[in-house]
Amino acid sequence: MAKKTYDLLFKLLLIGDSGVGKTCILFRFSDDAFTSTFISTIGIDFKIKTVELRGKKIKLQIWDTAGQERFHTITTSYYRGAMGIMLVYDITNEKSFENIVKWLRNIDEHANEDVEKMILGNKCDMTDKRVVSKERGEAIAREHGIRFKETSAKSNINIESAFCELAEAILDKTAGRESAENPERVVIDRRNNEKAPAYKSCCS
Amino acid sequence: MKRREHEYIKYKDFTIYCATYNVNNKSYIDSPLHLWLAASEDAPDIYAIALQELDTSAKAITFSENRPDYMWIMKMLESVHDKGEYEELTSVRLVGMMLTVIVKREIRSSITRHNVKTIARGILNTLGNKGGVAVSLQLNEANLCFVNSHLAAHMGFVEARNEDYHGIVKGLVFDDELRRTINDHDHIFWIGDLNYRIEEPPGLQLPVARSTAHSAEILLKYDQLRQEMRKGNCFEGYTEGPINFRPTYKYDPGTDNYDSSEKQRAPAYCDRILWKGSRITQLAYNSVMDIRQSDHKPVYAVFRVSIKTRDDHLYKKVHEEVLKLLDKRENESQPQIIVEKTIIDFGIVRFNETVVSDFTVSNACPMQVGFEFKRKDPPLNAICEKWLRVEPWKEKLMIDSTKSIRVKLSANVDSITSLLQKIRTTNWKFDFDILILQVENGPHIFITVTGEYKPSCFGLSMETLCRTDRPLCEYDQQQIKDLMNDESPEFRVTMPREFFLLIDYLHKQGPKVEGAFTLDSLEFKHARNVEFNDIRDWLDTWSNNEFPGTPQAAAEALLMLLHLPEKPLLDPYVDDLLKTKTTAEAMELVSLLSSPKRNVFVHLCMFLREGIERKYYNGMHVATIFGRVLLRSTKKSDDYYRDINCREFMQRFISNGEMSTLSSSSSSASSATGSHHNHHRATTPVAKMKNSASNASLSGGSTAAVDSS
Ligand SMILES: Nc1nc2c(ncn2[C@@H]2O[C@H](COP(=O)(O)OP(=O)(O)O)[C@@H](O)[C@H]2O)c(=O)[nH]1
Ligand SMILES: [Mg+2]
Repeated sequence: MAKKTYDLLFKLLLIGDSGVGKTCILFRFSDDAFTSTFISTIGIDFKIKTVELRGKKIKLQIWDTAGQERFHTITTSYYRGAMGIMLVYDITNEKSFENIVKWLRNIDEHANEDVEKMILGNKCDMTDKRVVSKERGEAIAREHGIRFKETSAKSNINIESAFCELAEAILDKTAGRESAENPERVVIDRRNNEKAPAYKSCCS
Repeated sequence: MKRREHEYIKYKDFTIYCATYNVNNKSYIDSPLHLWLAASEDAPDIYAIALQELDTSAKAITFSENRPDYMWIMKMLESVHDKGEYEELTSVRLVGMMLTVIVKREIRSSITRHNVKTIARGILNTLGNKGGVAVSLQLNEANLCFVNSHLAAHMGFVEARNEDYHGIVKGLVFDDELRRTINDHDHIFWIGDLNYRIEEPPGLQLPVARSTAHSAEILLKYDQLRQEMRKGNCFEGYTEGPINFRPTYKYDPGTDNYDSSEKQRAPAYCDRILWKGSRITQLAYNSVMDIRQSDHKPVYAVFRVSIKTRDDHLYKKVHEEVLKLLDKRENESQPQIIVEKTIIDFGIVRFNETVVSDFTVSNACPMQVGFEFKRKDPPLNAICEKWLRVEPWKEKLMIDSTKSIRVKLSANVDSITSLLQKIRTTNWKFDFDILILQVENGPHIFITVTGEYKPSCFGLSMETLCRTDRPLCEYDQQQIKDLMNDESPEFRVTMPREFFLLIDYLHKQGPKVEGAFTLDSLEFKHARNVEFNDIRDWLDTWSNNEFPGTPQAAAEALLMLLHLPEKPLLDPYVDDLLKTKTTAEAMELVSLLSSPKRNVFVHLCMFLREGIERKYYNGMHVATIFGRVLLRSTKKSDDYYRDINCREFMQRFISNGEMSTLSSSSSSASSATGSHHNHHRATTPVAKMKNSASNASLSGGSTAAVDSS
């Protein structure tokens, strides 16, 4: 295993209120499994998952953060290293949706300027308990110019495509230069920030 | 991936056409080369065409001619099979030897790599009149090698030929990423003028050997190459197909007749094609009699080779599975540590007391794990806040082992200022700190250090102390936070009771205060006097008991009370005050201070002046001490001149002759104090304070005391 098994390494971060499903989303993506027992994350955990995008093997290192309020300050110190951030709320929890604005402000203050962001409205399988409509999610995403998806870690809806879309957006930014020698320091290309990349499903 | 190859590998047949011709320096013009290169029924996929003695002139040898001969290559492309479209893949030349690989257009994209290499063997192994040229290429998943060699000539030089062969096998290394040798290929085709001759069979002397009637079978028995191969002296592992053609050497050019010159060289199978590797079937092996330019006849062989090929669909499937497996393995082998508790609750934490808590960390994985506490971002730049100590901060855990970590918390002289500042500015529930235990290559675990700070007067500003309406011991952490953030100009007393009580006590001690003021207490992390905590409680409870300490301890407590607040007593005018030349000028600034600070300053100066007058202590000494405290620099520079400056400033205020200025200013100060309700504890410090203030007659008037209603 001495040989590098990937071309690029992307660091992604999952943030959002405690209990919205960050750990489950990560677990679904990395292990394709779901458990309904809630074990509060006390710290920062990460998992890796390799995907292939445009012929490149991309290793995603995904950091799952503790969402509890007492940890907010401390988790912001992890924003800087992230190339992509998944901001998660729970469609059955109004408060978690309202806090999206707070989390976005945190990102503005602490993350890299060109970090790729995506908002996820999780638990979309729980239709009878829904309190945040999809339209409101889309509206807030549009307002901030961020991608949006409704997901379910439980029913495996949009989990894989969300991560791949985020990874693809980062790939679009990274310069064509081969960064395989030094995957930690991928050069970010600032051109074409405006143009929305055409997504096709990447890792079906 | 390699181990699961069988799941996605299939074999695909390719036709490979090898050809060799020693052209004897002759022009190709008008040779019917298609007879040699298009002898197969179907169009081959790959041609490997070897020429020898292309140009053996002294000039070519001396300059090691290695530019491929494009006239020849053009002619080859014209002469290959006409049922296919062909292009040259690569050519390699060393003087007389040239090897050209020509491929069918439609398979060009299946060739993912190709390299060439030459090796000289001739005289001194450097002149290229003998030796080899080779092409290595990857076709789908298989690596193919074609070698064209021209080995040492003459009947007797069998060993030299064997040596040439071994020299080429050992010495030829391609400049590809793996530095492949000839033997590092799946399918090898060795083509060329190998120059092995036919030993003269006993009883079958020269003329007989040349007879066309003689069957190849008998001649081949005495073929040196076959003999040497049988003995294991060369071409180990190579195969040659049956030879059903006449010896290809040596002819009178232009004819099909063997050498009629004086030399009368014996005919021989000089020109050969051998192969090595699996899944190779020879379809044809022949010479071409009708090409007559040279003293050799050209030879060709056609092969069907089953080439290892990847099924892209299956490959993708297996590939994805393997990636998943690798990811899974990596995720599962992530180092893990179990922490005994993630919340360390110290309970009640008090000023000038140290509390300790231990917890264990255990290795939870089948390998050694390192961990350390993560350094936090600036401005902290440390693993924990000032009031904490963590030991050890870095450690390795062997398999199955457990280590104990000690966390020490002290709200002391050194840390109280920043601790109170943090309590004041924290927006949610206050935690003493959150430690980040960082597992090497693994997760980060947050360990919350919590508890409740029991407020004390030490570290609080004079303003805050003047806003209290009950003893500090009756405040909890949240209440003290609110109190610290209260910025209203309303004060309940003109100066802090705690300050007043200490001054009052010291004043009453008369000459016993001699030598009580030292800088030491400011330079230690803890109070030096054993009674300090008793004095703390006495002050924080508004106790009616006797003062529980010595004059020395009271002096220390007084200095701390003045030294520990976040801002120095004369803030925000410290720098401006140091620039003043006269006391009057300074008093104007002092009058701008908040009333608690102003009153404390004036009261303190009067107290000190009296002590100096009565010679209880040295004026210069206390001026130095209080100069440092009251005019403390908020920047971290220990400027010697600044120190002198502070001392001189203080001296102006506490030496004789400045009484009148002080008095007038302090009376204006007292008029500024707000109303005050003396509720519970009637017999209490307030009354006592009032008393002592007048008794002390520090300024001979109603100044600086508490304005009780
Ligand atoms: N119905 C449903 N429940 C979910 C989903 N994702 C998470 N949960 C539940 O929500 C709770 C909190 O999930 P967790 O991933 O620990 O939240 P985190 O604090 O954001 O990491 C758990 O009890 C999960 O079982 C989902 O997509 N659908
Ligand atoms: Mg979690």
